[in-house]
Amino acid sequence: MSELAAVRAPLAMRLHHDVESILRLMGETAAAAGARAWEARSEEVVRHAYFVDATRFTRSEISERAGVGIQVYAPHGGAGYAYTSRLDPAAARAAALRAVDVARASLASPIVPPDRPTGARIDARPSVRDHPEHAAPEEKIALAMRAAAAASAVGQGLFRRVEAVWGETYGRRCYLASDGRAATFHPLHDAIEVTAHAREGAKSGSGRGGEAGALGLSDYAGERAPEAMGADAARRALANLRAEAMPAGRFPAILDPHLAGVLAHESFGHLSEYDTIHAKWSILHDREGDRLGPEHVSIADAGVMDNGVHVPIDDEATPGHKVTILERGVLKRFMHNRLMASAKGGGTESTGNGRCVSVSFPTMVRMRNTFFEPGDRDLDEMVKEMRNGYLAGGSTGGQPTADGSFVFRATEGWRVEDGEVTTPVKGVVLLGNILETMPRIRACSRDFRMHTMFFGGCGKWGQNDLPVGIGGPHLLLSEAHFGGNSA
Amino acid sequence: MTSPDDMVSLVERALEKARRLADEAEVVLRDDDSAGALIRGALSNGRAASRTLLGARLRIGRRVGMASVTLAGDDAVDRLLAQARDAALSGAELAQEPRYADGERLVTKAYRKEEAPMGTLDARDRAALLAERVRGAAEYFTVSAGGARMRIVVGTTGGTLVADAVESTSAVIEARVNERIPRAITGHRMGTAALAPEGFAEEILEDLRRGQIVAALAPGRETVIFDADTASKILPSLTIHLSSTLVRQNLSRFTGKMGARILSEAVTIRDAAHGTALGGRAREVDDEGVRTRARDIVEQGVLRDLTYSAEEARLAEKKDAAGNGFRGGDVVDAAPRPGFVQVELAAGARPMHEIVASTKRAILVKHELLGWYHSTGVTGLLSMVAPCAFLVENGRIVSGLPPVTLGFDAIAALEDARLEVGADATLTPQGLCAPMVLHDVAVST
Repeated sequence: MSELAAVRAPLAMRLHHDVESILRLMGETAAAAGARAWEARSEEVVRHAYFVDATRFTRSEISERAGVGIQVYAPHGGAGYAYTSRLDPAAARAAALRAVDVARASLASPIVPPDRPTGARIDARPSVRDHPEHAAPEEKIALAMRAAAAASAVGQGLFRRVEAVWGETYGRRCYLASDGRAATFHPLHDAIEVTAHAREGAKSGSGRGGEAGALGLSDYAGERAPEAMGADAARRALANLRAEAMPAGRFPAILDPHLAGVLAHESFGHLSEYDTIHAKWSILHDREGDRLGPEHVSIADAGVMDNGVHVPIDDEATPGHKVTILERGVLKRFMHNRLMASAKGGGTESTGNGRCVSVSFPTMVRMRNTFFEPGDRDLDEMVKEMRNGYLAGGSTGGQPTADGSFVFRATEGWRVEDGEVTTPVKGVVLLGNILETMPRIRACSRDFRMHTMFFGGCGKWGQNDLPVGIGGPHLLLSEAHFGGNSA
Repeated sequence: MTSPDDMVSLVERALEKARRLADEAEVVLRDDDSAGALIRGALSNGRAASRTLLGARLRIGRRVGMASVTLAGDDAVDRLLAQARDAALSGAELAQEPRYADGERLVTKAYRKEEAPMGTLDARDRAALLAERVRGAAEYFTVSAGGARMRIVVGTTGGTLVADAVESTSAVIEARVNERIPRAITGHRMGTAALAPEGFAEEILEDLRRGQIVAALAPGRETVIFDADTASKILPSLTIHLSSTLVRQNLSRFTGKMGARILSEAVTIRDAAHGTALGGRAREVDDEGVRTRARDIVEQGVLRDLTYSAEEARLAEKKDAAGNGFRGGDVVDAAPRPGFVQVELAAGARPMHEIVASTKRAILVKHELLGWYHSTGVTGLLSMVAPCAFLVENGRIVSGLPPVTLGFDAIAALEDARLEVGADATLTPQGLCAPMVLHDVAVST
């Protein structure tokens, strides 16, 4: 550990002393150039990553990002967005004028977000006991090393590489709109992630473990202890190394909370974002009020969840409400940002789902923490009930399409035979159509877990890697369609 | 947007300061300027962005530190260098002393080019043209068009100072019909094909219509004809194994196979570093200031070369790095990794329609494969879904198919001597690609 004594803390982010005056200048410039409404936002964030192996700190990645962006609505309703990474008045003014030009060049639109002056200024920050900003790098590196050491310890000499990383991002985002609404948000997202790569002859397998969220250092204990993450990564790598190829076909299946969360997010959540509904992209666009699943299935999205992302207000200064999208199997509500609430009309308000991956992009409807609500069954009981099939878990992500089709890759899979979990399988890909899959959810377990990550995230229409939370209980499906490498 | 001259002098000033802090330094300045328009049903919007990132890599003894900042204020350079110096002093000692590029001085013509790659109006007009062709024929559509230019300046205390630029243009149509069977197709056009997308909308609409006649498909193994767009999704599972880093770490399937036949004779993979006839990425220098070199990496199935960053070339005791050191995305604070400037799968002899006409039975997949980028590249195992698939029998398309899952080992499939590469090359986001015919693919619907 002697090397750690030399680790130096990155310089603290130097926040602009009066960023609101820059935002106001942008708005005033846009208004003077003919904008009928505007929303300006700034971002000053740091992102630090400390990489370790089982015995030493290896390297760091240190970055600071700052910039201002403005969304402008022209008198004919056309929308334009412009961004600059410079926080000075001249660049800000130029960006505002560019946004007005872009808005004028856009096609006419009848939809603009309504003014909602509240007079209140929002200041939102996470309440964590020991915020990573105030901890020395050595403490974070030591946590990551515990995860890497735990993975290496069970590697049976088969691991070619074990790496763990502490990642953190925090800073300040500010918002000012032409209707006078103003907000400051202090984002926080941190994580420990560990990866193990195993190789034995021509076979290889890898496994990942980790925890993320708006966490203080002392939160990495108990279920979130680094040793548990390392053991998870090692177990998955060894299982994948020895796994047989997953056969393609239709089988009964149990999805773990992580994969259930991917199903909730990718195949149902994206189809319930109102911009996809309004444009009729989503297959659910004319299904509001319809029964799409059994009584025991509910799906919701919320701004703040344990083990999820922390979005108490969105990037349009709207507090993050919980939205129950599918309630006891019936499609009840969609997710909105301000523009899409206006598009729906009838007094619809934003649900706090207006997010952007960085202020270099305009906001759109994005999820926060999306999950299946838990049920009342025991996992063991569900395995016995399924009798023969597959247990699939973990995920490297997925992809939905406009017709309700989806494809997800699980990171681990197990065969279930005669009510017992037996041998591992790999190359597990779950696919199908959400309208066919929902009615096949036979049971939900009472255990419940959210999951989020530091590297990667949700991608939509060019804005990729937005941190989101996903989760749920274990789900028992009477039939699931798996892709695979053996027919 | 920072002016080209200002960018070069900023890098020179940063290097001057870096000399006082480190034994060796590399400074990277990257300026991105982009514009785009999107039309989604009744909604339309545009976006313009300009961003300047400054990154530094400092070596102090055998320790290396990296950092990056947006060029937000006057103190950006000082903050950057202080962060990189502290990171270097904190980091582990490397086994060998790394060395950065020295001596190359080049300001390319692309960097000097003054006019913007495309304006918002141009993007809007192109998007509007495509929208007009799709509107009414599809229940839902999104069209987008855009252009971007990235300028990069790389300087080292060893005397390297290079400046290069890369431009890109794109057009995307996503359309859905909701007739008897809901069907959605997303198609992409890049480079010159994005600027004049003749026939693009018509092809998407025709495939949507053909998808309305659906046959069942029993699970089994089939021959699959991939059009150039879908074939390009297989390439990353191959090119990752051509990285010198994976070869050195013995994680590549091609470790120890230089000069040996590793793939079918039909497969020639090039790094088309200086562009293609259809446009696409072209770079004269990489992110480390090393000159790029267009060359065959796999020639008619034989492994001829790998992609090397400067660090990997040094570890492999190679004389030339060949200009394959790249930092992905907008990252300027990470060490460059080996990667292609632009992958090219050399086209074969027969166009796809001739291949189809001579095929007794196959599955034809077009436009898009879902899930390809979630595949585990190191194992080579792919399992993807083709949302736009057709059954080919006796030389013609007889019906559409429901979404088809395709499972295969990418490397093993490309080793197969029966593999055929088609003639119709297309520029895709993954590189220049041509249709491919693979055999014994596990399929199910």
